[in-house]
Amino acid sequence: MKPVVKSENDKKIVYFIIKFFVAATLIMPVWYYAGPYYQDFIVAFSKPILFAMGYTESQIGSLTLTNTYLYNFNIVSFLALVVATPLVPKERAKLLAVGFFALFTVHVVDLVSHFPAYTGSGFAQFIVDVIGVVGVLVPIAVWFAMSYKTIPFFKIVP
Amino acid sequence: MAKKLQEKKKKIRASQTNWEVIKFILLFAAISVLLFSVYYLLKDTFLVSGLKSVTASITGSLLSLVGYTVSVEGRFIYMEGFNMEIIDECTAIFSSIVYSACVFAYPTNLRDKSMGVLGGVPLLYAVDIFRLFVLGIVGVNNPDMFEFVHVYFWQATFIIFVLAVFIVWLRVINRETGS
Repeated sequence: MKPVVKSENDKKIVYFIIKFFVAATLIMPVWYYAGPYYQDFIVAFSKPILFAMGYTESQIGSLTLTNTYLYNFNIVSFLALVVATPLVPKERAKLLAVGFFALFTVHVVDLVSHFPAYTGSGFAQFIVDVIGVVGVLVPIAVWFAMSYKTIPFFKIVP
Repeated sequence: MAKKLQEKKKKIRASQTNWEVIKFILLFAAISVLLFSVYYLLKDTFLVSGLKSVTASITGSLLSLVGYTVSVEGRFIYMEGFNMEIIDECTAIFSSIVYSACVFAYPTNLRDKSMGVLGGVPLLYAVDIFRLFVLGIVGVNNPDMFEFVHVYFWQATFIIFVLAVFIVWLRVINRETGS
């Protein structure tokens, strides 16, 4: 029987995946407590945008946000990716900054789009739905774009 | 002179790699949105509703196999004091879209890409069924934990399994081409 893990590179892949799972498991409970504060921040940031779109304070206030912070969980997955990837501190900080900015933008767009979607806008509903894919695409794309040089198993030029 | 030439070659190679990376990311994003749009057009058809029913049936059968009393009606799974509705996100459609976009965007031949999609998508579906199976057990035995486990299994495993299957595929095709 051939061994499944053959080379040093294979070992690095397995190590990376294990590290990702461990990191995600450790960060998740933290997010469970920190998430609602982040959600509040998203709401505060989105308010001026919603006011500009013509929504009133009472309309914005009627939004139910129980457990919605859990749906911003891709921050945890992104953090776990950052932890699992072998990077020098400066690159790690850069990756974190860009990744957080990108995910924050996605979360704001997600929240804001819910309002016109609720009142029947087909385009807004499409945005709300496509966030299911974009929310996964963004952490992977940012992570890859900023760390592909140090990802030992990813050869983009075959 | 030779040193200068070497440096120039290095620069060209680096810019080529950068372009390949940018191209990969742009294609990855564009194909993801394109595939999502196809799904969006089909989401109210029998294809997606059929997939939800099949997913519910498989999950229900697995839960019955380990001793739970389960009945399945369409996309609904009824258990002892706990019910589950299989929605679009529960069918691995989104993970398959992101994974397939990764494979299609990667610069390799059509045979490798087909192999990646035909091998990877069923694997992601199997992972998804396992996730639903675990969720069913958690729902019956510890309903308070359901939401937490649901989101944890949805997002964390979603990203890592897409990446893991993609990395495995990359290793397979790189081995075949000898690089």
